[in-house]
Amino acid sequence: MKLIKKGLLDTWQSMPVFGMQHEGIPPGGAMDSFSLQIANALVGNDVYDKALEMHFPAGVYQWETSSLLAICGADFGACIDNIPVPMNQPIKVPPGALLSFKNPVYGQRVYVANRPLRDEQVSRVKLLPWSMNPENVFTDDPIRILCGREWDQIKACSQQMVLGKPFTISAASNRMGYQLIQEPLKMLSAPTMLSSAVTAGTIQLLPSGQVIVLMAGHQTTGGYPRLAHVISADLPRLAQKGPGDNLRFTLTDHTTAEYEWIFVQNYLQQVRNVCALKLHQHRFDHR
Amino acid sequence: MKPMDYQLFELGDTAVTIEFGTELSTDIHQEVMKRFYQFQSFPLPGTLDLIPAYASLTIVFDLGLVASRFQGLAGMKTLIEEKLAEPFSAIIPEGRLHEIPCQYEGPDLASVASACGLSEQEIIRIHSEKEYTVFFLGFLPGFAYMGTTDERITISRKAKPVPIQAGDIGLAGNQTGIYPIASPGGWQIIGRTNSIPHFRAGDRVRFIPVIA
Repeated sequence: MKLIKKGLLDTWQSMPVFGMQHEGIPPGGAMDSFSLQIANALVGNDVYDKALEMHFPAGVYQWETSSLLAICGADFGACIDNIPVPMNQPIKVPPGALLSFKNPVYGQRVYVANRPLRDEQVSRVKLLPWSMNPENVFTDDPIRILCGREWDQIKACSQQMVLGKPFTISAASNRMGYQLIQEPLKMLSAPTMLSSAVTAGTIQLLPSGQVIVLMAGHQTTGGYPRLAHVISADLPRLAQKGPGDNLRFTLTDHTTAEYEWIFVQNYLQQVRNVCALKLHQHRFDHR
Repeated sequence: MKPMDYQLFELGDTAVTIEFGTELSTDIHQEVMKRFYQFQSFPLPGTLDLIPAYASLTIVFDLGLVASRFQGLAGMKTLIEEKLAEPFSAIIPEGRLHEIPCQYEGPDLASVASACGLSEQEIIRIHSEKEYTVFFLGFLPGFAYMGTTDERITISRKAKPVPIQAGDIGLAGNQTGIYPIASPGGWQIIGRTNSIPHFRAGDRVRFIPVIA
């Protein structure tokens, strides 16, 4: 894949890489790891393979070899050679095929997974006859949170504001974290905290009373009060929201957080199994 | 030796933090490092990361594994309690001494001085006359949290993070540190340096005032 025109923020992202946080090196990884995994599954890639994560305006790319690709996550009006192509469906492209994105329809981040077809010459763009329909990344249901260590240190009226009123995602939001706009929250007392570990989804309270949700590119430690934590299963959904979007929070418990995570993992495993089977049958039929 | 008192709490749905105290002390930090080596040598199932801090150790788990096989984080908390009750002695390596030249002309030096009721010269003298310990690395790759600073120059973080340059030296609470790369940060910047060594937890640091 050759870069023709650079997008706003195009990066190759994989699943987060753990094991170096004691050196201050964060796990990183794709913002919407769910869409990343669907894209990789559709082309038959490994779970740990990288895919291109892009924001709008997205880059323009050209293929140099026959390849299988899939576009998942945000809908930016993907086109191959200026003809619209569907999302969440495997597409064979010949050498020279040009991928571009015309207009943002919904979502914040698109993922393009790519696998070179070494033993096959593709002569024209061809959609393979199956697709996935992972709609749950784009629902407007409240984002589910677990109480943080300092949840009880904000006033009861501020707790009600967090759970009752919508927040707006500020323009000062990026891969590291989202700043959320609402009336300032009030603490019972001004705490002096020692810095300690944070994770993706940690909701920190700034001294100004505003809150930040840490996202995939978060730092390893922080010293602001930990109000709450977005559950892992809801992080991909949050990652597809962006500046100007509204969101609501609702409290949940650990049992639900763990159940929902297992549910998503099982779904992804089924998607991988189905895609692998479909690709295998397709190769068998077209030998 | 009786294990140090601690509190366990969940950090979201993927991690558990073991908090040995809420203030900075050498004894508590020694306990954190000892437990870091213990959980590194004999890891619990599903461990992805061990993150030591001033007074806490956080264990990050593979959520799918611990939720499907170990009754989730609740089950891991029980395993952590059992592990903490086991006798364990670790040899903690002695740290190196880094002498870091520092130009004390940061943008926040004047406001820190007035907030502390001291002159800029006094802030410089107090900050540079003490030897600090590197407690842990975190926040950014290679960012060393050092302390403790003299209580006369204790200062709170900024209300909002601002852009900070690589090499900037800041204060926050009774902590001091050097930004290894440009980043948004809430620390009060009093100086800067061109020399950022590769720190390890347990190293010692002295700031040497220099004129630009």
